[in-house]
Amino acid sequence: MAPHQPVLEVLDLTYIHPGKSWATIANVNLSLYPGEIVLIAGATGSGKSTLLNCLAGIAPNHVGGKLYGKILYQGIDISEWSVRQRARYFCILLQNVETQIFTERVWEELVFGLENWNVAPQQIWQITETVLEEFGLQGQRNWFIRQLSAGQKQRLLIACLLAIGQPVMLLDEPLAYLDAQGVELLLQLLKSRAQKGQSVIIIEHRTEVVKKICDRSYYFHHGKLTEAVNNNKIEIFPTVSEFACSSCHHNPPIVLRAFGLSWGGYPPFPDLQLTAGETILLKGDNGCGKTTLLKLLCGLLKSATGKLEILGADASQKSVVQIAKDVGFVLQNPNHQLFADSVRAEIQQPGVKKAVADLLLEQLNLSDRAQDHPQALSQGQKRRLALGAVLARQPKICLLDEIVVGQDPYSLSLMLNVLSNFIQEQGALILTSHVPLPAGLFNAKVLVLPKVQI
Amino acid sequence: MRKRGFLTQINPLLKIIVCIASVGLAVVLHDIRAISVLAITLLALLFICVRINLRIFASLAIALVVFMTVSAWLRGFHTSFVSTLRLIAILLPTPLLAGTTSPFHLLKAIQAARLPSFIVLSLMLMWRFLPIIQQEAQRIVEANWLRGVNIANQPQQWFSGLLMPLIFRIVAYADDVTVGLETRGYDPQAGRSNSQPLQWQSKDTIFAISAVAIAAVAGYLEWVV
Repeated sequence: MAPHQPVLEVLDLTYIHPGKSWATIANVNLSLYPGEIVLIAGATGSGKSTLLNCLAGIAPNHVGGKLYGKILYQGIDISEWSVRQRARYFCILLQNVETQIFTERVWEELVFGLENWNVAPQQIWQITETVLEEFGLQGQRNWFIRQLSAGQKQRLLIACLLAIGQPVMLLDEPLAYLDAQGVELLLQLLKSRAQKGQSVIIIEHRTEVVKKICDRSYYFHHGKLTEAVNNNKIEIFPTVSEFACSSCHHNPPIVLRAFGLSWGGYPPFPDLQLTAGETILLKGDNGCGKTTLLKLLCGLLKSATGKLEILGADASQKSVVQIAKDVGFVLQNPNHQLFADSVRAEIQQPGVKKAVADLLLEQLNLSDRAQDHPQALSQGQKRRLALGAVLARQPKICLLDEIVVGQDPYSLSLMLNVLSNFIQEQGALILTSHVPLPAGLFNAKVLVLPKVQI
Repeated sequence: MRKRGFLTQINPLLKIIVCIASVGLAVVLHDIRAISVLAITLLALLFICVRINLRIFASLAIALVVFMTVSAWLRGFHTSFVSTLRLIAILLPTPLLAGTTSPFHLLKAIQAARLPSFIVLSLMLMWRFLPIIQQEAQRIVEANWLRGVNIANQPQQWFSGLLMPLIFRIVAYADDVTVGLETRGYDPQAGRSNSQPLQWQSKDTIFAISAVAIAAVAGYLEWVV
């Protein structure tokens, strides 16, 4: 039974973003007791990250806006506390891990955090070794952080944050880029930390995974937080419109062939053959080279060996710009791909007809945000926009790198329906995803990349 | 990019002091032989200790040749040559320091120097920012490539396609990184432990003596001979 005194209490919290007249989150009430794990789910842009920003002190201290209501930590009103003051008691994991990493090497990042909290020097090395071991990062100890994959970076940052041992953990999509092993490890860790009395608020779309360890679940809908009784408001998989693969019935042309590609320290990549209307799902542990393989296929990296053929022509020596006429690439982090000054401009690029842009905006449910700046969108909306911007150019092949991350079931269904149309029009897909996709999605052929030996 | 060479292992605080002294010396030297000693030493260190991007290096070399040609035409060859060498000697210490000092070691140096907290925070953010600017510029160029646009061939798109997004990203990053630092518990005014305090090693003595010797040679050529 939970003790009576909550460690964190949110009372009638309302937050209005700067320049807006309506509340992003309204009258939120939430209590977190010692040793509890609370899941917060909800659609993209519904207010989950905004709540976390309010709890962490980022809103309104750094982003402006108006905050009403109270946040109590062990009965003390912390509304006036800075992010740093709160970070002493709250372990704060933000969505974009790159903004929380500051050093060059893996071991330095761990030491940096511990030194900031004035941990005794003799304990720092002991904790560092333990945490590296616990998170399976011993092999990458001296690696440059830029060499790590997104999943490995996320694992490192979680390791850095959990090493401090604050009483409350505020985690925004901690499973986003983790492979199955990483997810299992983190869930076990959270469970054992909760048993020792630490409390966790976890924002996740992968609710089916987190539900296994959480004590209570909440659901955000249009800025209102409601408790999910029996978790019945948390859907798992979206509905995708009936998938009819036209190429399944014909003899589709081969659009991409890759033989013996290799790069850097990765083992040679498996050979690939992709036909029009076909989907290949790349799977493998964090750091096995999925993103690297996609970059080789679109020409951003040049393979040291082997041959790449696109639409029957040798593309090994072609530039990215030449390859981009036929191949679209949706990057893992949408922030790296969105640079126009409005959502519409992002999709309606030179050469893209207005009708095509309008249709995509509507299909991706972005029509009402068409005039907004892309950076004003939620992470999930940005992913939809990045997909739309690539598909607007009507490529023959589309490469998708972990685009399912951060998508609620509705948002995911919008994306999958757009992709379903793309495949039915003889487009070919290669995608990576740690998140389990609906069974039999696009009749995808699964290709597992081997683990990299360190 | 850093090579794990001799200069990387030198006490970062000593490197900062030598860099500042080197820039100061470059400003006061006028003798062509004296300033040559300084510029050649710095160039040699750059080639030995820093992994150079040949494209950027070639562009800078071309810019220097243009500068030298224009100044030779305006002020004569001797003055132009001295000015070019001085420019090299003033510009090189920064990439040398940046290319051989990790942010982690820079922080150690700043801690040891007990600089005011606002300078510490500014330096930390700046050091974090330099690679981000380069990384973001590269990402924007790549995003353009992926849309079939080679921005290098379209100068009319540099402003809207590169500069504006870059400025926007940098401003956004400034906020994000400040928040990120706070969430990691960094506070320039609060006490920090030091797991690897800076220690004076024999390599530092060799480096310091070498630096003084080079400065002495330059000074001798400038003021005695």
